Amino acid sequence: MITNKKGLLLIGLLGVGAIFLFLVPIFASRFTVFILYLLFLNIVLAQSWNLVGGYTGLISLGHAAFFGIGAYSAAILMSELQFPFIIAVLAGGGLAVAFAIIIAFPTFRFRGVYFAIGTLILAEALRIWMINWEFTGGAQGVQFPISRIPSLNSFYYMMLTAAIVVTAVVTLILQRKLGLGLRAIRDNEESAQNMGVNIFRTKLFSFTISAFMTGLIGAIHATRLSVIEPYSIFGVNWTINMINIVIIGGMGTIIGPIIGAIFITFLGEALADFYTVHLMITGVIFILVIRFMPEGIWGWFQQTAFAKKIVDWFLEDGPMASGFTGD
Amino acid sequence: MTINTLLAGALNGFFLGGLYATVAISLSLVFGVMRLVNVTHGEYLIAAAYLNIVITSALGIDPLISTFISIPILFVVGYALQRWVLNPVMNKGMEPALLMAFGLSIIAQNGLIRVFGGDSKTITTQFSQRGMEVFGITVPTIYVVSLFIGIILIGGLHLFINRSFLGKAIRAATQDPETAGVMGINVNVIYAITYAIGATLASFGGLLIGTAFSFVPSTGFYWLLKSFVVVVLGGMGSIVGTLAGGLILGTTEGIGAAFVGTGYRDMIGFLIFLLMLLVRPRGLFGQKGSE
Repeated sequence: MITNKKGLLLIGLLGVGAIFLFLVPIFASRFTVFILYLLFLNIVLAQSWNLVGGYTGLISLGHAAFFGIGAYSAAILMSELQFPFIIAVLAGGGLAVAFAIIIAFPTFRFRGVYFAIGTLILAEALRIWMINWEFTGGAQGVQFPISRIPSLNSFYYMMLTAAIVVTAVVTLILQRKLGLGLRAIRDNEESAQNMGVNIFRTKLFSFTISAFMTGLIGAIHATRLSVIEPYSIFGVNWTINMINIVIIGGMGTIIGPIIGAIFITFLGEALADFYTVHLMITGVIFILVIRFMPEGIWGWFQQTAFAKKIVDWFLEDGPMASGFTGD
Repeated sequence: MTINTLLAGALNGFFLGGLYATVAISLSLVFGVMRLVNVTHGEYLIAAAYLNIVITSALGIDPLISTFISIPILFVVGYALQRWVLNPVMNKGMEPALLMAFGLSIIAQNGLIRVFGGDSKTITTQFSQRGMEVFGITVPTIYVVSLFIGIILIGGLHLFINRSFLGKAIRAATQDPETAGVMGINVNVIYAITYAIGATLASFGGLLIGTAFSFVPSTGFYWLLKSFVVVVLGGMGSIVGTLAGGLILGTTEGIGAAFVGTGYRDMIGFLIFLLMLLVRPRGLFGQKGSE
């Protein structure tokens, strides 16, 4: 943990930043609040994918399934069974976890790229199931009870809290033995096993936490959308979005997904009228990052002289044994 | 459900399986043999279909002839992309190349939407909308044509990979790049040629998809998944296995759909795929250790 004075300064600055963000809805326009809501949404999704893809080395291409399950669970519970919003959202995360546990048994046996292909196809199979399932409204989807949908400001606070909590949780996990186990599996599964890491349990832990966060966010965002249908809510675009953010920001770091989310969200807003151009530019940047900055923007920044100067300044009077600068 | 419905489902599925195999050949070469998880595969198919429409209307010729005109174009595009975009990350394991292909796929798909819009298109040939009798059951003519094209392409590719000098160089370069390099094979060029051949094969897949079904720019994703299933079912690295994989997938889907309804048709195939990965990851015709 951070113990020296400069470390406290850093925490103080972050605290001031967080308080500022909590005050934004008081003076900002609805549009600004909405864009920031999308930014926090992207941060949470990217952090959850990064835990599995960046830290555990499981390239999941099926995260859209967790998002969709969270969304549909909340929709059904709120509209059919009159559940309160908070309970419905938590249940959304819970059901995503249940699905994660079920698919973990087959998919964890697939190594490397087969895990990627397997999760991609599982998510697609689930999408087809949802399109055909009468219980959830089939291709028409479900409508949330309009009168019980919270206001935009409430959504803003929920997403902001989620972004802070998720970032904190991932940071804490990484500082524990568990976080070490995750990275050991990513770097070399066999030697991790030899060192006594329980591979299945460690992977499952990371996978289910990630599924819970993704499902939770799916539930919240679906309520905000007020009407959902299986084609888009289970669409692979959600997964693509998460991966874009993580790769561009910096895979396997804490700050990377935040930077990537800022980048993608604001690029998307700047080019809001040219959706396809936006995605094409994202694709080009994605390719350039993989080729020339394999550690992403944050990984690249950490190696610059400027970043080293900042770290040195913080380290001047005592060790700063924090995992804050990422991995 | 009568025995006739079941038989019709099986037979239709069998010939549709020929289309699946033809569509998957490119992936079988690039993913199965060369070990590049080419998630751009679907975009090649759909881009080839659009290219076919453009050439056909520009020159006023038959789509079948357009297919052959688009071959050199696809070859050059595939060669360039592999040589200068994918090759630099090929030696860093399979994941970076997968992600690179993933980025290419995003660019290609949105580029297609930008140029051609979201309206669904079809390619009209003399096989469109026609059926023929096989064992007293009506099957779309294009399915039967697909199977024949598939057999010819797969037979040709099989001979090429296993008999020709270039084919041997491809196998050498993909199995052990370092040793192949020492033996005087320019691995980068071989990768580029292999990928380019894969791209040209999409020309046929695109023609068949466009003739048998309609397509929009995002349809490529569906055919990518189908192709993954076919290649893994048949066995990684086995070209002939891809034909078997396609036929088995088509037939099982046809029979399954007769039981549970056509809405679930694609799900059946995906579940078979997952089952296959669990019980026999190397597929039907894959050699031991090829997974």
